[in-house]
Amino acid sequence: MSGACALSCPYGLTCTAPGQCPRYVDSGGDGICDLGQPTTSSSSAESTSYDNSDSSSSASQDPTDTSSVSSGSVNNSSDTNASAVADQGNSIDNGSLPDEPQYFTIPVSMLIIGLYLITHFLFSKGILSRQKHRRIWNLLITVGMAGSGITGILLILFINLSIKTALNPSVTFWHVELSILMVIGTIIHLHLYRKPFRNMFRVLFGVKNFKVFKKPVSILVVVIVISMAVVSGQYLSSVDGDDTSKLNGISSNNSTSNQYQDSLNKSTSSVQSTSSDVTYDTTGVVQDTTTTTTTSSGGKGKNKS
Amino acid sequence: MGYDIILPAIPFIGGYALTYSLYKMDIIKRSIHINVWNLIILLAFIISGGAGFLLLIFMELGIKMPINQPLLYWHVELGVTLALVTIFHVHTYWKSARTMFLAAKRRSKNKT
Repeated sequence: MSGACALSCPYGLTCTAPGQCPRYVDSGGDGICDLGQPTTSSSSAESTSYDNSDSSSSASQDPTDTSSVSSGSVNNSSDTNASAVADQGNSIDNGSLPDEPQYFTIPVSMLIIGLYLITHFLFSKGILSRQKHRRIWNLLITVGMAGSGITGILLILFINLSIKTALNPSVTFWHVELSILMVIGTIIHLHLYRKPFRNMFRVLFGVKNFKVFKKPVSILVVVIVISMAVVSGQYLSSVDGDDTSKLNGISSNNSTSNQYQDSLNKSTSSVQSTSSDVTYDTTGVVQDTTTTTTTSSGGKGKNKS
Repeated sequence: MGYDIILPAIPFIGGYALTYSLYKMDIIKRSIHINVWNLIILLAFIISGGAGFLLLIFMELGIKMPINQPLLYWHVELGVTLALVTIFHVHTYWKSARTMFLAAKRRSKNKT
């Protein structure tokens, strides 16, 4: 369940080949992106659970078969070796699909805006000349534009030509980060060149007084304060989530370990287990996997903030 | 579904060549040529950058909407346009853009 949630399409799309983004994965060969098919894991789990009811050894026959995506609950039959094999198969499946990267949108934006406020302050105090101030920000926007453009064109080529390299996730990551620099840098660029910007409307449309903001710096300060409040709110919520998940994780780990020990004892005593034993095992392992994923996601939440 | 790179670029290359040649032939003013392309780069930036930023926020918040597909498509197509028009923008302001890379002393030395 957690694996299906983590590996779903971040845009909620169902793409056909060659896909709309560099995350396109088609291990089944049906021409539809695996990330846009959330029902594949559940359906395969259902089909394999039927196999379990038929014969307990059928699940361990194809440990490396990637076409039948196996969830953690599939191979929890009476045999403990079979569950180990199933875990291997699961890790192979997860390894073939890309992990969801983290983009530091708000921290990078805050950093750039903060840097601009510093240079603007230095410029207004006469420490930094107008030319140097503009040159710094023109250089930064050039870096952002060039980086974002080059990585963007690379990504389009990767998608159009269906090129799969290990660099794809890192190219996407740097495309996003440099685009943040480009977008914030462009807004700063508009602020730096606000007189020619107003002049543009006057020349093209004959608008004489194009004044959106009377005091742009004060509006920037308000935006920063609001975004800081949002960031702190997200951080606090993630910290609360961590605490509760950790507490739940500890309690459920204890209970699941006891259940797991009981089930192991039962399985060793009777190799030909009944269907009730199988369901007992399944719940134990599923709970175990969910607790580990919740703690890891909590850690991600900390990094994000 | 692939993305076109050359097709959306052709009208902009042709348009820039047209306005540049009109300006060179003194049919239109320089300010009109510059401001038309400033407006085009602004519109491309608003659509491409805005769509990209929206997609990023949706992704971070886990929001999945049917508008994501056209947003992603137009983000890419107008991103190509933005990259191209940025080159035109640098070309238009080449004299001042050159100062970014060259120090004032070196420029004065080159002139002499």
